[in-house]
Amino acid sequence: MYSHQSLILILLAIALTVIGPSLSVQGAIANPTNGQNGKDGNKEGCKTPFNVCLVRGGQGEVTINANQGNSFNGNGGNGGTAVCGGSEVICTARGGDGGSRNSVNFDTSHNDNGGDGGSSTGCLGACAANGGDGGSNNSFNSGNSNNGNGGMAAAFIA
Amino acid sequence: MKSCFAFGGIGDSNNHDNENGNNGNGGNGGTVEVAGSANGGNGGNNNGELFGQTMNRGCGNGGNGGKVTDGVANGGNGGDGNAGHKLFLGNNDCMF
Repeated sequence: MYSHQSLILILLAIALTVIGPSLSVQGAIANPTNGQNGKDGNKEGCKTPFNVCLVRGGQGEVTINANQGNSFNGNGGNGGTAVCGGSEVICTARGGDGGSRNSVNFDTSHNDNGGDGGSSTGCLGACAANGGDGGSNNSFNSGNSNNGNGGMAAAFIA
Repeated sequence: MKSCFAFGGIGDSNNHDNENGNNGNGGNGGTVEVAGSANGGNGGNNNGELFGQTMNRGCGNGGNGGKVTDGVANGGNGGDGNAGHKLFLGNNDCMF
């Protein structure tokens, strides 16, 4: 009797070993969860001992595959806002860079694009609001896709 | 003297075989309301059809220059190798 139960357990284990990976792949394809995108930067009125104010969006994640629906994968965060008090010599708000290798996404997908530059205001010297760089190696995405594009520079206002 | 800059991001390379894809284009320059420059980013390289299966909407284009009150606004440069980047016959790569 025990030998029959053991045999059944062994067969079940073999079946799960063979079928399990294919089930997990199917689950990944059907999963509508989007890839991790970088977070926006946001730091207002920043001051440092060196009179430098840097605000930067986060970098997008690498290798998010097989999303369905309208998905945003590995895109850099936007630069956010750098509001300086007038004493900072350098003040920048830069969008985060896109990640890389986000591929095989279905439907409309936006992959590894650089974040837009933020807003830089009120600084004393050199100021910049730059877009982040796009990522590379985004391939075989079906539907409409935007891949590896640089972010747009945002406004600098005196 | 205050001088400000707004650069569009750089498009990256090797984004290929994406259906209706906008691939590796530089970002546009922003707006600079004081002295400085607003420059478009450069396009990436080798964003075409590696296997010639799909049609791209655009790839490897430089970004447009932005708006600047006192200074220069330059467009970005296009990337290299974005039109002939395929191994097999297929659809034309990029619509510029």
